Amino acid sequence: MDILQGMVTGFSVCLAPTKLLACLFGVIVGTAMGVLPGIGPAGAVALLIPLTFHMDAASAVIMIAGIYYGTQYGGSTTSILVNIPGEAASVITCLDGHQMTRQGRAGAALGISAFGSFIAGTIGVVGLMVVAPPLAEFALKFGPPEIFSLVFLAFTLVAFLSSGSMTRSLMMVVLGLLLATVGQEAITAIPRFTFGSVDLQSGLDMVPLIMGLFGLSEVLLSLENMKHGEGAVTVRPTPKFLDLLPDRQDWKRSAGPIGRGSLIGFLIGLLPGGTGIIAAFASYAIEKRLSDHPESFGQGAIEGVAGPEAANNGAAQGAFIPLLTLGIPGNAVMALTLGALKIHGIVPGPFLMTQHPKVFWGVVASMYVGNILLLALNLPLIGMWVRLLRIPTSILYPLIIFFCIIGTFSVSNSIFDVGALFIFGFLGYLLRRLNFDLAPLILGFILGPILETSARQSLIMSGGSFGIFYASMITMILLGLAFAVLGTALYSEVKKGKLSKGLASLKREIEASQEKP
Amino acid sequence: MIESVRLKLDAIRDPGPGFVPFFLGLTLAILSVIAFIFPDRQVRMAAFWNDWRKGRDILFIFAGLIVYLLLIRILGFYIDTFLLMAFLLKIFGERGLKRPLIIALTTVGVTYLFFHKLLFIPFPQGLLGI
Repeated sequence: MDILQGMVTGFSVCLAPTKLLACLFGVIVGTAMGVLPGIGPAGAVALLIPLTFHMDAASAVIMIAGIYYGTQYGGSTTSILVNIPGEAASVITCLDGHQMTRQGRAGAALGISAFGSFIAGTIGVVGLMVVAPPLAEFALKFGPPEIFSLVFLAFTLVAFLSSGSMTRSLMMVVLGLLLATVGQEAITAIPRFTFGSVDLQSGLDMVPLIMGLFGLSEVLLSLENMKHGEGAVTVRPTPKFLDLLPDRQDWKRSAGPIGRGSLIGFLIGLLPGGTGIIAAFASYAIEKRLSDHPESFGQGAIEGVAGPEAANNGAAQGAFIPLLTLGIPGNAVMALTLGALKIHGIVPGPFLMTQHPKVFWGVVASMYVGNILLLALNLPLIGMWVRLLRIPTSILYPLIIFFCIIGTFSVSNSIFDVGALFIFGFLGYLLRRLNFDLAPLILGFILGPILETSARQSLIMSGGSFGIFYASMITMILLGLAFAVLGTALYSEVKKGKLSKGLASLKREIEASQEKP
Repeated sequence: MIESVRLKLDAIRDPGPGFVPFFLGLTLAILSVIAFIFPDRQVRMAAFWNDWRKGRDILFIFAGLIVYLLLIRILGFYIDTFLLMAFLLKIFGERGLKRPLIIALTTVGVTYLFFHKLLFIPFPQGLLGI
């Protein structure tokens, strides 16, 4: 099926009423979750995954995709208006976006953020259409050794790009892999680490693990940061709709950053571990370097909003490529999407386009539709989104815990799973408190069975010889890249003094902007 | 690693069920030693060592969730959840008693109507049959 035919199929799928409704629901809920501080895209998807069990596979992925890029849109609204990033990738928008609000230019900031995200999203979808089919065709050449090498590379990249030290990120990957070994072993069906429990025979369920680690732990961390009796956030008056349209000067200054940000975001999104946060920071740093007036950054430079916002939305689109074509999720949200697809009996990868073309092209086409819906929803409804911030956190967070319990219970009607939710919630809280990044853990858990199966199949094929892992050019390149990443990380650890000084300086800049009255 | 050996590692040309967990455990042990010797400077101490009130609240929530689990088959889902919600609302800072109880009751009511009546999710009943 060529690209044009694929897109016709895709639009015929995504414009069906049920799919359109799923897309609309996803973008609305995603935007709302992005507006609310504390719940990022992974937490939002984790909380809503149980809903996808009542849908078909295409609707499920369309909804999850809508939530994902919806949170990017929503997060920027609160960053600009109240200097509170709705989700992590919007942190950088606070620097210049809120300064623009203080200068009476909130409308321009919000408008350029929305339009920039839309343009980046559109470019990202075009990139997906162009890159995905040849990449999927290339991936057909992959056997067990190639799959093992690719997953191994994905883990090293994720660990390298995660926050904190690589050692700690690798520990999380390995912990995730170990958690994935609980239950009946795939080849011999021998129970592992079940300790006689019937509930653990089928392994740890993805839903309580993810909802506990991301949803429940987030609430516990937020409690720590709350002062008792803290009410809702005070919000400045929101701009009127016509004030949101950028003028000619705004467009002139933003065109370059949006174009560059879109490309940077898309390329970073392609990489395992490449998140919107990295894309936004990279775009900001590049725009500041390229600007004729770098001293204006941090004081309300519209380039400091346009570039990062385009980058983080571009990354959201780019992240779907390794998942849909190779079956390798590059970040926590993609890992959750993979889990949701597997529950529907669909394994993303090179065969997805040929075996389930409606799912693949339906998702791609829905991204066009979703981006249009987001542009249409975000600008006129900004006042409504901002009102969400008035919900007291003393009510919001208990409700989130309640949704976690209901969501977990609705999947398997199992009290054991609710118990697992609480255990993983507390574990997730402790790990995050100790500065461990949880995204590598989720990736390890989701990809663990693939890694183990491909490793054992490779060793069986080769009669126990590790030579199979450097018998083909593909495995040599992939493993070579993985060891290069490990070597680079080791070198970075040695030179940590320089790196941490640079990051500390940027962190001080962000904190200073947050403290300004 | 001990459990993996019990599960059998077998030969490398035909790895047993314990093969991969054994090496994962070994890798985790090695990484833990490295992380111990070269600690991350950004690690913050757990809150309950710095601010006892915050740590106390976290432990209260965890204890409350465990009690919720233990009582669910005795009280039933609706009564147990009502009590849990009221407890959580107070822990998270709701003042007084009237508003937390109303919110908790509303939550349980909506759960019954939407999740049980509309989506047919069967919630565990307690000794009172509720």
